[in-house]
Amino acid sequence: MRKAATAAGIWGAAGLFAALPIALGSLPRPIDLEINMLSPRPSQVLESTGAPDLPAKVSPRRFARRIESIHFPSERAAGIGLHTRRIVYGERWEKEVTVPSLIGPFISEGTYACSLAARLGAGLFDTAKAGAGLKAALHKKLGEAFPRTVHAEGVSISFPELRETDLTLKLGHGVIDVAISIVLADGTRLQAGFPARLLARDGTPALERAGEVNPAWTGPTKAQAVRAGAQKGAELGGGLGALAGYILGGPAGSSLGGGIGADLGSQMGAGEANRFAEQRAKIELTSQVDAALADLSLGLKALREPLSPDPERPRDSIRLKLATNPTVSPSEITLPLCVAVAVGEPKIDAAVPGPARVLPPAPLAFDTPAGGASAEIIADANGLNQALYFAWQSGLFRKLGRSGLVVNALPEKIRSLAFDVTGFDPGLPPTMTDGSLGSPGVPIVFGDVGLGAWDRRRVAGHGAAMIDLHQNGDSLDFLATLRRVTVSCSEPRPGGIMRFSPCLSDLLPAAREAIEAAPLQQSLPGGAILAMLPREPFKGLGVEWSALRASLRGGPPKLHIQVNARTTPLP
Amino acid sequence: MVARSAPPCRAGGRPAPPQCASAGSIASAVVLRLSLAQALLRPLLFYATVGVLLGITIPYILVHISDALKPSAVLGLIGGSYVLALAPPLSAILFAATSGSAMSAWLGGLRLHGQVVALEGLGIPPARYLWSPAWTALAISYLVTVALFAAAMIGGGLLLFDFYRVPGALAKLTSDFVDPPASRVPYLVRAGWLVVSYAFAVASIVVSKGSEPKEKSEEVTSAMTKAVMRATLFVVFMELVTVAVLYRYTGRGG
Repeated sequence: MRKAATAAGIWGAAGLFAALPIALGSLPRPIDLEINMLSPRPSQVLESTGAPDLPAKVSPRRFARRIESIHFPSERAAGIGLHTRRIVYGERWEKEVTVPSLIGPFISEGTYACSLAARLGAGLFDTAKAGAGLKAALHKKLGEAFPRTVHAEGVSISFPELRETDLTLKLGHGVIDVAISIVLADGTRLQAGFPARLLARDGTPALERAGEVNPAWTGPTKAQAVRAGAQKGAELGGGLGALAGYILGGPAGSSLGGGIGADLGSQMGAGEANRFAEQRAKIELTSQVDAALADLSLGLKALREPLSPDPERPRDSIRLKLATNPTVSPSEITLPLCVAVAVGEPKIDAAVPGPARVLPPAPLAFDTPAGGASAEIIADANGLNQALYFAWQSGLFRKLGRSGLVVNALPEKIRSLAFDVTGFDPGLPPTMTDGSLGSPGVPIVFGDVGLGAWDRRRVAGHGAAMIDLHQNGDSLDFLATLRRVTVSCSEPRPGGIMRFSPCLSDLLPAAREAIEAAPLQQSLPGGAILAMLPREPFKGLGVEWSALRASLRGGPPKLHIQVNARTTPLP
Repeated sequence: MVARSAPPCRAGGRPAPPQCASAGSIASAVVLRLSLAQALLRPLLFYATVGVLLGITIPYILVHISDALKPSAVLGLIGGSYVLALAPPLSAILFAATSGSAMSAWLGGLRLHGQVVALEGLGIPPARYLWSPAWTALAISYLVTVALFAAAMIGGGLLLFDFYRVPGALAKLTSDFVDPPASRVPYLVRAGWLVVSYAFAVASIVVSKGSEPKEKSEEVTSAMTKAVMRATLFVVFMELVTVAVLYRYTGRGG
């Protein structure tokens, strides 16, 4: 009896001890919230707002009614969309899973999007002040043509070197009134005035004459041309006179006729030479002016050349072209521009064909009057998205986000999280949306920003940054306030399934409050940005930049950058 | 309370009188009632008071772990997890020290004064009519105690949560029990298993030490002390072992 009781007790105790691991082992795989999506990547790339989502299964099904579905910034708009499913257990455990989508239509690489406009203030063309470089560039171009000798109708005109060039540009309504005055080495002066038009030719600005060049010239070179003509006339006249005199009066008549003929011929020759000289001057000056205008084109011919910002990635390119003819008015020249970006290999993700087109094509207009000798540029959300896409696809964001500078700057508490924080690596291009989110600033939505690895899972952050840009004296104050930050984990599963699960859910509510209450602030000195601008943006023309101003306005978003400029001659 | 299948009393091999079976049942019922009174009813207020105070103190300490987070954020983070984790072991140790000591002393006293011998002389097996109801009373008392203790800790926590204006305080404090996510269910399973184990173990240890033969009064107190020590060691050992088993499980599955 005692032995039986002891045996029963031992078995009972053993059973009790075994019950825990058996009970734990028999529990099903815990699923707080999970999305299994048929996708090889931890996001969706949808061609248009009407494209259906990829097939996905949300678990646990028994709590389907409790799972809240949140779309940010909106349910179906071009750009990055964040679809968050959330369930709260016991008013305490917030389990969230976010699936980011990049929704088209897209501006494919190499396709132009007319999302920029540039404006040049009239002060830039004041050749006595800020536009002095234009005068110098014209002098340099014309100087290549002199000295020169022109032969025509048996007369040679020798133009000496160019000594001085004066250029006056006056903006009018649709035309630019050009006045050129050149002085040659011997003091000969040629002056001409004509209207010019600024057109778009093959996407680049072309400056063309809109009227006749009617030069007036005086000076020794002209006098020499007239003398040569008169001499030629005298020779001809004398010969003809002598022949006529001989016919009429024999040898005496020939001598008399020759003298009279020479006089007459000389007078006629001088007159003809004068007319000839004027005509030749017009032809020569017109051709030189046309060549100079074609070459100069206000220095904007460089637009034709693609820009490769990173010397280590020469196949990355940004191309600009004019959308339509520039608009000329007395205060400014406005150039509507189109931009095309292309990124060479290696790319971050070739499955993303280009930036999202968040706005329909529409001409951009400047809201404020032009400011003197200034160059301005405005970009709408499409243009800014092209820039963001370029920086993302070329790997710039990845490089910056993973740099030691950024990772080491993270607070210690962030780096102590239960996963390896490797930096910030966006899996999708950050996208500026076309609307406001109710907070000050312009929203840029980011999705699938890789933060690190947790066991086999990839930790990614999603959300929006409200960007505000203010002028503060000579500096630009840049403010970014994070909104709607969510974090999810993803891991690839067999069968082409991507599994999304919550992670950091316990920390996120408290962390979110802290993150969103503390905006990121950075003051960018204007001088540092100006130093990055090219000093010789246009061939043969130097530019000095100063007084950078910038603003970022919402509704719809528009970036406006204005900088004072002064053209300078280059050696 | 009638023992339906109570065997007849036996004395010296002669068949015992019929009234022995009913006497054993009566004794069993009396022991059960007395044990419940000693182990549960008398210290009930004490357990509740300790539970409330610990329910305030523990989260109060946790709230001040970091200045970087608001108290309401910390409390929202921890919720009632400290109740689930600490109610079983704290209540078991407290129970062993209070109710267990009382029962061990009572049983030891019965042994010391020969009342157990008297029961045997009456043909009433002490195992069935003394140790068994005492064990049952202790097990039931502990189960009620742990429930009361947990409720008291939640009550204390509620006072602190309200002080820091934590929204949904009751829901957060009871979330581990009422609405845990699937990943937290193993913790609930462990807590439930521990409660059952402690009820079994504490009752067994106390009755075992209390029912040992004693000839001197100091053996009674020695048995009391040993019961508390063994019960306490059992509790802390099981806490460690089950935590290791639990985290091994959750690490694999979660």
